[in-house]
Amino acid sequence: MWKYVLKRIGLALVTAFIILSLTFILMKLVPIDKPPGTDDARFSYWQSLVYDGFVESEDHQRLNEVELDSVNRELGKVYFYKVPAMTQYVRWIKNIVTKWEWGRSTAIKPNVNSMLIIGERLPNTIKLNVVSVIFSVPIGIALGIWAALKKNKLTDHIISTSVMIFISIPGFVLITFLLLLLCYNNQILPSQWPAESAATSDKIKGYIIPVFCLSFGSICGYCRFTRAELCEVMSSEYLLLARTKGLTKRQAILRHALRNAMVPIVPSILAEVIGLLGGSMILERLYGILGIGELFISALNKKDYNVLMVDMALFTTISLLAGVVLDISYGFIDPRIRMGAKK
Amino acid sequence: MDNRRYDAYGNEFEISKSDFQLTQVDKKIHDKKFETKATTFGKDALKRFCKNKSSVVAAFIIGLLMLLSFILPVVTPYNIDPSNPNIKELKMLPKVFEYKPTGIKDTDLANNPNNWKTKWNGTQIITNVQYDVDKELPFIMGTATNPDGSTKESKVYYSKDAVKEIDYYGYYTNSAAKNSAGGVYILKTSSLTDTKDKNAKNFVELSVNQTLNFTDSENFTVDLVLASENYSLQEDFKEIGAKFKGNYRVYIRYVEYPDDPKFVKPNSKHIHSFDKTGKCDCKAQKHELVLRDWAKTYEQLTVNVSELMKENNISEIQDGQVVIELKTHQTGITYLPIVSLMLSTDSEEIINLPGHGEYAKKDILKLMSMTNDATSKEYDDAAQKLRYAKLNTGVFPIQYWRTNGDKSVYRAYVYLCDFLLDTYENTYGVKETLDVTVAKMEEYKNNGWCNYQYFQDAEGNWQYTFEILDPEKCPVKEVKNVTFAMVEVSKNGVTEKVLSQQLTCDVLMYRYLGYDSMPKYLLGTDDRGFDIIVYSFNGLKKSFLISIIVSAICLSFGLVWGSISGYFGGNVDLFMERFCEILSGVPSTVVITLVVLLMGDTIFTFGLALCMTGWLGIAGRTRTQFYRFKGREYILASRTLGSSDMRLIFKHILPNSLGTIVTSSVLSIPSVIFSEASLSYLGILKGSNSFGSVLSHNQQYIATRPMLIVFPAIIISLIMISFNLFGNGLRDALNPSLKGSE
Repeated sequence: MWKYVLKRIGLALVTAFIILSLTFILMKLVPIDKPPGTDDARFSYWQSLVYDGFVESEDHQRLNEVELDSVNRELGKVYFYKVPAMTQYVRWIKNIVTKWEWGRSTAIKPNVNSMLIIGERLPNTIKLNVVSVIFSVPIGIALGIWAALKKNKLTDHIISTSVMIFISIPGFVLITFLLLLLCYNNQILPSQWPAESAATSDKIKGYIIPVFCLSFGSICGYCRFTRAELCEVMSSEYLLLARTKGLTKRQAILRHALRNAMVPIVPSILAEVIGLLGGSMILERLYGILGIGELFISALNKKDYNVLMVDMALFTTISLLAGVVLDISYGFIDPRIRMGAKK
Repeated sequence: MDNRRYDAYGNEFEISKSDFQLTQVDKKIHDKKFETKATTFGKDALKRFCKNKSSVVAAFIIGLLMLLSFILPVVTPYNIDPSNPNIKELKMLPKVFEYKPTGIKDTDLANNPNNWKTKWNGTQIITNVQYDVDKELPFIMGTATNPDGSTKESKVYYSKDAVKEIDYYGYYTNSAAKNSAGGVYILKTSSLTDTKDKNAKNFVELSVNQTLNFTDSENFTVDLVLASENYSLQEDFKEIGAKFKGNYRVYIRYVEYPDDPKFVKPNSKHIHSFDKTGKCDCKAQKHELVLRDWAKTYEQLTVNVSELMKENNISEIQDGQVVIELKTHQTGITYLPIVSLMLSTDSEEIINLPGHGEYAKKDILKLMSMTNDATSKEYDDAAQKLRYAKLNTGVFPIQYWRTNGDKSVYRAYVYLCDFLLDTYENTYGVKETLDVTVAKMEEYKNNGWCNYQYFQDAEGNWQYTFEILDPEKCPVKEVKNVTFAMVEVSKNGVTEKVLSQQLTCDVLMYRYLGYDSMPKYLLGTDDRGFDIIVYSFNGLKKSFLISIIVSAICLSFGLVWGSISGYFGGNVDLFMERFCEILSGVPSTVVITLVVLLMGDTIFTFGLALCMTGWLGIAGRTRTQFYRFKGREYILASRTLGSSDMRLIFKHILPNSLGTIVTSSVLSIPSVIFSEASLSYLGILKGSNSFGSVLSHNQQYIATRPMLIVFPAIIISLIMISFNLFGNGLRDALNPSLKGSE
């Protein structure tokens, strides 16, 4: 078992390395635009790239090369030159390995290590997602169980249909309607994520819409999944045997059906918890939450490629990690499944 | 022929034709029809699909939306690409019903928002807009283009047809006075720190910009009202720390021109420039006729200038200006609050002075007389009556002021109004425009809608006539003015003089833009003038097209990849699987971002980005299907009979696995629409002009005009729900083993 876990993690790391390398090189092939602004602003922009070794500065013009930009300084003109993508790649790896420096921000917070920016943004996203998981998991599973127990009755039909409808509605539509109803028309809730300095009551109010939006999809997902699994277990022969042995329906469901149905549900919850760390870009963008999803969009719009790279790396790692956790947790939860076991 | 036959014991016997009897009487044998109907895979699937009612409804909705999205943008008369500069206010509101006046005159509409609720008739409440009491119309300040091309700031009025219900009110303001504001005009000396400049004058003066010729016979009267000591405004002045300690005087400044014929009267109206520009040695003499000598009392001053002139033996004053001069005080800023300065006369010439009543400059303010205790409404009426009365009797407030010092308006009286604007009349109704060219006029003339003629009269001046022939169709309502000019045009090196005409017309905009009747948008238009229904469906068409193309590409590539990987297995499969694994590890956002960064954000690159990872799902599914079927007995049988790999793949395995693959391919259509919409919504994709960009663009109006975003949002939700239902039905129909399960 442990061997399998280590193997999976090792494989995921290799995959992540390949993906990140490809992403980095592709991104460095994007032509760098000259930033607008004064000499000072441009100088600090280029200097942050020089620091990481992605750009080289010279005090004289090179002969056979066109400079990216030239900036007037007190001591004379400074010229900046592009470094080949592969050289940048080697320097990037070296920086990460030796100094844990993932590149400096150029636009969002100039000259600040991108990792620090991610560190600032991550707590918001995590807080929100933890709250939404706390809400969505019990509600989703409870609804799913209820629908499965009342299979093909009115309750089931109502739950299944609304789940089907709400799972189809795009997230941004839901957010828009909630904003419209609760913020603009009736002004019950704030239409923006409250600032750090806001009062506690406002902060709590600010959680309502994002948590609702985030958990809505999950609730529908869990409900559907639970219902399907439980229905399958309910029709199995061992449950019939349990009833024939004299267990009440309640006992049979609680001790046998639910436990077995939970086997595929729990890993998917674990995987989704990790997946949610990526944040919902749309929600964060629309509600003005300073999380990593929002960071991604603003980094893209402001062409802050170093921050974008770190953010992408985070997304990639999270999605790979979620996959690994999903696979491994099967083995831990259900002793019947031996992952990676030979025939 | 040997007819002998032997039975089992060796006895010979003969059989002839007569020994037999036909069981069938007819000579032909007819095939009997099968009791059961023969069915194909497709028919069976269709039958099963039709049993699922919700899927059929969903399929119908999808079909309807698809049909609408392809037909609507083509058949609509309302262009979704208008780049007409004439239309400035394009935010048309939903109009389902025609506007009907309520008939109830509500005096306080602004405080009763329920009375203002628009009722889907294309009207909009506009509040706090400046109001012109004379014309009874709201207006905004805008720049107008003169016929000569120069621009000036002027009032732009809403058209009378567009303003439905109006409620105006006036109030006092100390902030930067708006146009049309009357109020107390403050003449103010600079603070001492500002006057360190040695050349600075030790006084400020306010002079009437307009010069007049005074005579001793026409009863010129100057009437100056200052905010006096007992004037109620003084209380308010204390707030700003102003003290009435100004030492001022009032006089008429005029010039006596020399008799020398060489002396050229300068163009400028301002007396300051008179002695500089004379071309002879002689100088124009400056004179002053004092109306009130230096004083500190703020009493009302009424002087009959004509009588004063008689007293001083002056028969005529040329180019006289009324000037108020305020001395700088040693200790601080001095204020002189002027309530009004009126000039009355019975001279016909002055009453009919052209340009009277217009405000050419922004900082020039109308000064009006004011009573102390009037409420705003009373004041409003009284001031109006007074003004009209004085205008009709030749008394008018002097409106043009210039000063060499500071001036500001205190307690300015401003009119504002709230009104109900018919957005359709406002945009498509009658408008004054310079855009009707002679060529356009000729076109209308050829259509027989109107008659426009221009000719030179006996004196050589250009004249024009205009006549409407078909009032039902003619876009031009009235030609207000035509400016004729001879313009030099050089063509092929030859310079010619050509007559150019600039027409100022009142135009019925909807006809000018080519509509037969007033447009009507059920759900309104966005800020670019796009009908939101048509525009949404146009975007939907693009989204549909791109998603179908992407799905087709993904299906074909994924099918090939999955087939090879699944059929051959072994090392080939291992290698191809690892490749897929790495590719699927990249989040789709990252892929799309990279492609957009490298290749620009068009809909094409977006499609490419989706294709790059979209085929993975299809390939995986195909692979598992191949693994499932390739070990079956019928495959083995076919292989034993010598079938080639191609035959096995295309004739045996693929048809069996196609159902599942096609279903997943169909289900990828909504996910493409969805991700395109999401990315456009986030602003990652900008140039696509598709469904998501409709939503993204209208996001800014979520608070003010929610219909712009509600309608597309409903449509996209409908599509998603329908596709999910349809996909479920299709999956059940194409896969018999899944029948009945969710």
